[in-house]
Amino acid sequence: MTASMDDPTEELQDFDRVVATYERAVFRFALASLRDRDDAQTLTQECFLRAFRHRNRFRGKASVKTWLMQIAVNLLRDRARSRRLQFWRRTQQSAIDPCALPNVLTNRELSPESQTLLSEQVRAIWQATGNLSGMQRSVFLLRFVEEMDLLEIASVLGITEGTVKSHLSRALGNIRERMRKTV
Amino acid sequence: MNNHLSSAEISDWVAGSGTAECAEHLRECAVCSRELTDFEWGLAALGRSVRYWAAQQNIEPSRPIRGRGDFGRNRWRWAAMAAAAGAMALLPVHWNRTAQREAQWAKDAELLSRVNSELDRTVPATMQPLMDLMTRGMEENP
Repeated sequence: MTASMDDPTEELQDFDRVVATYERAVFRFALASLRDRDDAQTLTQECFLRAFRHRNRFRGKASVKTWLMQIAVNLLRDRARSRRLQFWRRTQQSAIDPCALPNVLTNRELSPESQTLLSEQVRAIWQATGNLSGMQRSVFLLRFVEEMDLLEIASVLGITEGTVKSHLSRALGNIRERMRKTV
Repeated sequence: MNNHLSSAEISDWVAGSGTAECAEHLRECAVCSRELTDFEWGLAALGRSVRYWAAQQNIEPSRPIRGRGDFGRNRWRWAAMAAAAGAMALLPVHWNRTAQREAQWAKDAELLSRVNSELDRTVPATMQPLMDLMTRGMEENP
């Protein structure tokens, strides 16, 4: 057990287990980025297929999750270049909305009024993320959905920690700007 | 306190690049502190919502990646094997056609040979004995 903890390459020996462990996280990131279940499913499968084919190139400098997220981000970039994503960008406003699940936001410590305000805020943030650039959206989702720290995000995206902060700050600024117009 | 933090300063703070002045201001200013807390609550609630939403979406079980990978790696080998099998299936047809063609060529050659021998004749075959007598007579009495 300690071997797999010390050496991430050991973890790849049992690839079925890798899929079982990280499939949810990759799918969640893909779903939040693409906002379409089937597209996210396809991207998740492509991600693990690419990981399996290139598993010998994994040197264990980062965690397996970080490596898989790198692949997912690259696949998203590839898609961003295709016309297909242009279609999704046009249609995503009408795609499935996670804010349509009010029970998620139920919090006994909050008054009904505060809960309503929070729901509106969440909805506004979600809508605003749809208008972020690809890099800003990836940074934002890795930080607030995947709860990765800044160094992990830097490793996933192949940029410095300072650049991550810069993209995140701009993403948050854009979101706040949009929220001011909508809330 | 008149000068509150700007939206950009709050964004910088949440992004992890806040300054010492921002930290001091947030300790002293209830308005900015409240605004920051509300924003961070919203971001955390969004994260929870998306994670919950994603968990509700069923993922179809992944097809065995090992098999797909092996096929991908060996696809040229599979293609070569398929091509070889196709060629072997077509060989008997090719051989049959070659034999037929050769038999036809033999028949054509035989016919051509008969035609040539007919053309070599100067008189019809029925008059050949008379021609032989005449030729012999001419040789005896020149």
